[in-house]
Amino acid sequence: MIASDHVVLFVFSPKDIMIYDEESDRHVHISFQQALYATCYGATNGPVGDLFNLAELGKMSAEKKCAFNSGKSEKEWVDLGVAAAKDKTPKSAQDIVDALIAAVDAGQWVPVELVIARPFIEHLMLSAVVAVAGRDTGATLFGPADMQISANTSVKTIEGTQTSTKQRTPCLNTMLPQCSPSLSLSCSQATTPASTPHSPHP
Amino acid sequence: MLSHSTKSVITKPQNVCVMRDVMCSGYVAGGNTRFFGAGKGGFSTYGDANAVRNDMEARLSFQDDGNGEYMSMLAFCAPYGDGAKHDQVISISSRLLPWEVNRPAADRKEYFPGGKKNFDAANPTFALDSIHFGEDVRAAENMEFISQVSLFPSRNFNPCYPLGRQHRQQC
Repeated sequence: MIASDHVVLFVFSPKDIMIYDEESDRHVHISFQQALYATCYGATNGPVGDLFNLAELGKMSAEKKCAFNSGKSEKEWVDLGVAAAKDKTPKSAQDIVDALIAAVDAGQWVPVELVIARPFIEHLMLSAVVAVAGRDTGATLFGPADMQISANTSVKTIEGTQTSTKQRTPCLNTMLPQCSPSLSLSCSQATTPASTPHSPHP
Repeated sequence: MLSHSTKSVITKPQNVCVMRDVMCSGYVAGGNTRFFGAGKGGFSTYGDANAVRNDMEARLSFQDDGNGEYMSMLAFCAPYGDGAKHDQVISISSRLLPWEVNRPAADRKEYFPGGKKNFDAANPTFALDSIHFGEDVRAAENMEFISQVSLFPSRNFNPCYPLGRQHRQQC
């Protein structure tokens, strides 16, 4: 609730819009001025030319002209467009931008459009693999089980590799008593990546 | 070390269907309401095209992957009434939409805001073709993605490696 001595006043120009912000989960007010500046039209390294086709404003249909009440006359807008199309300089573009902002700030309609795009929306996505059950689709092949042990003398470690068809095989702890005190046995399970080598005598 | 000598073999591929991207599992970036090149305080004057390009490059290369605060929006000038023909997707790069490829060169990029004239002005200014950098060209040429008719240059995740960003797909 807003206290009576606090007046919250939102001033929207006719060309402002609200866009949903997915990060803050709210609608955000985008002013016409900010959107126009974002086009870089009028900047020294921005696009040049009559990008709003103001020079051809005279070809607008009579129906559209009925809504044409922008403060400037049609000829004034056309002159700005002709200058921008002819000069192709940032200065002529700046004249158009300044005139547009002044008109919109005065609450007047202007014969332009701005297209705002969010071309890089990115989400993490889930995929699925669907298969028909049964032997017709394929098979899971199980290889032979074996156990290989080798000694690495440089690090004084006995390493064992157990290849099994079971998901979880008892760890090699049963072999620990057979190790000499100076050796350690490397033992880790593929299903528990965080496991560390065991040493019988730290 | 414990390993398993099992292999899954598909003998009838017709019975298997890989459905990519069937469900959203999280937001990454690109959906906020800040303009490329705006900085944190917004614009105080005409936008700087170099800043727009730098922000786009930062976004596409994930330069700030720690907090992921990237810009999201681009703005283009268009004549009054231009939006009436944009009821479908638009392509903001030099790539053509499927229904544009058979047109004469002069009639292409009509679906860009403001048409070919505005595209010729905006493309070098914003380096719009940079949005294709890093994508899987072979996959795009083989039409493995729907990206040829998409507006968005998004990345694609291989379902076999769900944590690895592999490439972008783009229109």
